[in-house]
Amino acid sequence: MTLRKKNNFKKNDALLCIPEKNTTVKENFLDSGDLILTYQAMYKPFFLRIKKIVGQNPKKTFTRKIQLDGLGVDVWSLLDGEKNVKTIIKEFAVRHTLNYKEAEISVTLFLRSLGEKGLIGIKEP
Amino acid sequence: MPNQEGLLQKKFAWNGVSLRVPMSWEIDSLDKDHVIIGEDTQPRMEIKWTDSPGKFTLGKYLKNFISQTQKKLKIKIYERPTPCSFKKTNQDLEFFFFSWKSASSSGRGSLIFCSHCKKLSLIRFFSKSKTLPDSLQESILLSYEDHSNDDHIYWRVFGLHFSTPHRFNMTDYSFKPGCYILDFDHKKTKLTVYSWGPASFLLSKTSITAFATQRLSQLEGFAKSGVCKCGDYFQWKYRYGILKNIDTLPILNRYSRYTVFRICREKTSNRIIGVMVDSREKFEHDLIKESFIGDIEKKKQL
Repeated sequence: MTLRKKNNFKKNDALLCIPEKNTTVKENFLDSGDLILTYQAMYKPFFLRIKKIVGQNPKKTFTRKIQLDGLGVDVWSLLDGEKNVKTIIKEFAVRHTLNYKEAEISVTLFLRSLGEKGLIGIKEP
Repeated sequence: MPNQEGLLQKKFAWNGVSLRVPMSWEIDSLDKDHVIIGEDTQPRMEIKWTDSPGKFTLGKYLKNFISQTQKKLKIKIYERPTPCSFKKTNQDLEFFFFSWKSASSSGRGSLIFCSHCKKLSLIRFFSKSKTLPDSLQESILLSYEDHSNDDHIYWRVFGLHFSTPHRFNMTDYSFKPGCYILDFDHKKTKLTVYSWGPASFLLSKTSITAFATQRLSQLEGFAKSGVCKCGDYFQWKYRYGILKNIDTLPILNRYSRYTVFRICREKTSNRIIGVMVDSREKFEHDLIKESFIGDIEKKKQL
């Protein structure tokens, strides 16, 4: 029988965490105000195996780019490594005259997607 | 009772009921007749209400409601005398106080019966991590209203506020970040309220008419402009049917529908508001006038 460790991490704890930018990410601002982030992504193990079989380049990473719109750039600019998620949500809500709950959902979803891509890290307070 | 009314700065109104809560309280969960309001991810209060059955006796009605609520919310309810400090201001409302207990939490609350609309509501306060002062609870209860004095239902949630004609029932709602949609109907007329935000961002590179046609591809023809209380609006009016040019055959006229859509930018809330009326009857201008975008003289300001 395996025992699964109970996750006691609650929503409030998550909101107090501090997101931090990945220092290897390159930023390139466009004239339109959008921002292009260039970062290194890992190949999936399946593709790595295929590459190995085919005898291709043994590099484990490849370059990817994502483009942030105005709202994304706003959240990105708030990631200074000191502000916690809750503060970022509040500041974002004030900047755009948004309801706190609406800002909370938008910002947390955005931060989650950045985290999944490895563009940010999250540290506990 | 110390005055706590100054603390109750946020107005909440949903599907006929309304009350005031502290500024830091936010909606945690929302249903047609059930709301949970919390603060910092902790629930603070829960509201559940029901419409009255046709024939009833108050005692039996209360008993049934309490037993159903106990089962549904998995709580035990104990009667409590009315606090001496509590002085009701709305004569239509009858308050029955109680304390409640569940496996993990406890608190106090009140059952509220309205002799005017016969609605029965249950409000319970949570006191698991932070005990709410009695005076604050009582102030919230005193701010509670379950019907308006005019023929409108007021809505005030997530930064959106408007009113709908009383005869319209809400059939569906969706609150996604950036886009809220609420559907109402009455007989064969459908009323849909849209709200998009933040307007400053959404309209930074496009016009409001282009935005409308992009979001609602069914819009036909040109938009006419006008001025209403919210500011400048654009309005589309058209008729459509299941077949092209169906209205040329009078016998098939009943299969065509009339649509009016009005869109407006509300600068104070930084949102774009849209109202669509779809009806078999001829254009329901009055309906749009009765909605928040129109020029209705509001008897009550939320």
